[in-house]
Parts: sequence; structure tokens; C-alpha cells
Amino acid sequence: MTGRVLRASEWLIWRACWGLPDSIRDERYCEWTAELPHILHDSEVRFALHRALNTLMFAADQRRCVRPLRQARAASLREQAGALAAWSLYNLVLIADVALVLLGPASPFVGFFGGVFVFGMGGAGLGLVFGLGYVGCAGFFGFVGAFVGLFGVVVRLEHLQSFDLASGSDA
Amino acid sequence: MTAPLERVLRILLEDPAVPRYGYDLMRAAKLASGTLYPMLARLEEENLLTSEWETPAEDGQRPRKYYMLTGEGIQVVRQELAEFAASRGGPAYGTRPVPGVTS
Repeated sequence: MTGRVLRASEWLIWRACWGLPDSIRDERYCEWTAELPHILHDSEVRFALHRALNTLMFAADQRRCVRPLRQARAASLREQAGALAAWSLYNLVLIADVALVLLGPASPFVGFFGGVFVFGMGGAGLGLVFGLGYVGCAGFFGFVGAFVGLFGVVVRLEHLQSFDLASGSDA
Repeated sequence: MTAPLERVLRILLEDPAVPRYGYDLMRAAKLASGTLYPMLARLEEENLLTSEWETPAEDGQRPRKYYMLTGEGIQVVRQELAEFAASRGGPAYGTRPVPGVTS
């Protein structure tokens, strides 16, 4: 019976350690499983059944030990995800502004003034990101620039659709 | 300070040179493993407690981890227990004068 109790207790501890950070999981598992034979063969506890129960209780209760560690890990992961999201947003804003600066004047769709406007918006966005570190404002400029650029594209496409190639004039 | 923590600290302070295993502490303090181990981890984080692995036995048994109070831990724990006892109006632990020694 002792073998089964030991195996069951080890499984309970293994289950409790599941999800712990790698750095501490093995150490906790080794520490707690090393106590099991001593609890199971504790000479101060008279009945074998009582000792077996103590062993299982010891193993089962380790779930409570790992709860704060898991919560700390979850909080750390949430923090990392937040930092990653902020980093992604920063880069997205940067890429959008660079794209506006490069494509604004080069785009044949938005016309000369539209191109200048889009270029200006992208430039203002980049200036805010690098000069002042205002990612939020740069994002706003990028968004406005992109919106105007897209609006220009749509207007120009509609204009091209209505253009009569044969006569060379608007339909 | 909670009562379980007080019990654990008193046991550790009884003989600071004696290494204590988790199960020994559980039995002495009458605490469940789910209560004791987070407490030990917290004390270790605060550098009041130090832990070591025993040397592996030849009979194949896994080495156990034992805990001892650090030098700083002994001082801090003595002080904390004395303050705790004073706040409760009881006798301070570890602050009794040793017979024949005048401070």
C-alpha cells in the first residue's frame, strides 16, 4: 500500500507544481516529494492508515502553496502582454507615419495638395514620436493622414471610373 | 504577526543552529503544508531564513531541504517576538535575562 500512497502523493505534488515557473518547479517538486517517505514512515504516528492519510493530505495541500506563485506569474505575464501591446502600437504608429511620409508625395491618387497634406501628417507624427515621444499624438496624426489619404484614393478612383477613355473626358 | 507565524518563529528560534525540515516544522507547529511552506518562502525572501539541501543519502532516498534562521533573522525574529509579546502583554520570548549575567 505504501508504494501506491507514495505514487499518488507524488502525482498530487506534480499536479500542484504544474504551471509554476520553470525556475522553481523542479526545486519545489524535489523538496516536497523528499518529505513523503518521512511522513509515510513517521514512527510517532501509530497507525499505518493515519500515516498514509497524512502523506496524502501533505501532498494535496501543496496546491495552496503554489497559488500565490501562480498568481504572481499570471500578473507578470499580464504585465509582459501589456508591454508587448504598447511596443506593437508604438511600432505600428511609426510604420504608419513613415509610410505616409514616403507614399504621400509619391502617390498619384491623392493629388499634389493631398500628397503634401499626407506627407505633412506623417512628418508631424514622426516628429512627435522621435522629438517628444508622444506616441498617442503621433498616432492621431498618422490616423488623420491615413484617413485623408484613403479618402483621396477613393475620390480619385471614382473619378477614374467615370472617365471616358475614348473621348478623353468625364462621362 | 499571525499566530501560525509566531509558532513557526518560536520553533526556529528554540535552537537556531538546528536545521529544521518542512515536515518537522509542520508537526511541531501543528500546521498544514499549505500554510507552512508559503510562510517559509516569504521568510526566505526576506533573508530571515536560509535553506540548504542535505547531502544525498546512500540508501537512495531523496535529499531533503532544511531551513535555518540567518544571523539577521535571529535578531529580527527575537525583536519581533518580543514586540509581539509586549503588545499582547505577555512575557517576551528570548529576552529573559540569563541567571548570573547582568546586562
